[in-house]
Amino acid sequence: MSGARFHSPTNHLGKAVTQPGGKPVATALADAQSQLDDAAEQLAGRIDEILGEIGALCARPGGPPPDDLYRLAREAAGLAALAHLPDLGLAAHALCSLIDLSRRAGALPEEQIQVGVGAMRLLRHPERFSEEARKMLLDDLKAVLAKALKTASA
Amino acid sequence: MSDQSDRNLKDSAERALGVINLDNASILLIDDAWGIEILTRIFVGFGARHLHKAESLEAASETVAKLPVDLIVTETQLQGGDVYGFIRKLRADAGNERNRFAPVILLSAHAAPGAIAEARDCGANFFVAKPLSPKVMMDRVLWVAGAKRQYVETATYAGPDRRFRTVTLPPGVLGRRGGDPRPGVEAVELTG
Repeated sequence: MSGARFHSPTNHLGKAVTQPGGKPVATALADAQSQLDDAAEQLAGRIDEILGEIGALCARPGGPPPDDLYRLAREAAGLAALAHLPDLGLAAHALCSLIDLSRRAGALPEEQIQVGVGAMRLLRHPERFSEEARKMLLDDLKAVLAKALKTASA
Repeated sequence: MSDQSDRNLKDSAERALGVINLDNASILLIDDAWGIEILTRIFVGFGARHLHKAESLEAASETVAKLPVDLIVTETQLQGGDVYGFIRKLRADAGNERNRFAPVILLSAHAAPGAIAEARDCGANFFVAKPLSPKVMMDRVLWVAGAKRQYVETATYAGPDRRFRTVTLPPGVLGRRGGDPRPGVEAVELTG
């Protein structure tokens, strides 16, 4: 006797979505994308605020508090692609990984963090760079992350 | 043919072509203000009308205590909140039979190591990486809407049954691999 109890609950969502009416999935997807596209400018504005807040954190004596920096980078990673800034999103995600690694190691390596933050700032205006230059920037950031991973696992 | 028959035929044809109706679905969105904005836009685009929004787990707890909820979509890292604990508590809440088995989709822009395992063990149905796309969200919504999976409750876990049934070999046939199920015995693999 395992002590496990099994339930077969009503799938209320399943019942709702199959009711007559609604909209074709293709239309629903297009409508949702259109809703997101309408918000792209607003989201880019929020990305600018985040970069400003990160800048203020980095200017603090003793460096940025890791939890606050992580929270902001994480928010940017979630929003950037929807603001049509996918490369900035990748840089923000890499910065999150760097912060996460360093938090576990006990200290934030300032140079690595600066590389991540710098990449985010540059990629806020991707039109200023060629595709090749953007790729190089992201590759450099990946190399920094790989090095940090290697150090952490040593 | 009557108008009603016409309508039924049209409805079945649309469903066969892929139609989603979220008109009457009650959906709880939990995230910070910007996350809620994005989720709202996606679900409004999908045609949802009954969106409940919570920027804190306290607000989310009030919603699940008071209103019927058909789907919960939540960010995993809310400031000052233990989202995994919130889901565990909901799944174990025998006093809230209507909502305790609502499908839960977790969202995260950056998953710390161990987050996926924690998401699985708290009883969530899906883990989706941000940035969100309508396509991925639609796939997950349709998946949980069509799921017929049972829910299991043990001393340490309450949530979707994560066991997958492995079809046995035909009677009289011996497997060639050591891990093959024995003939006539239903193997149950815990993949979670």
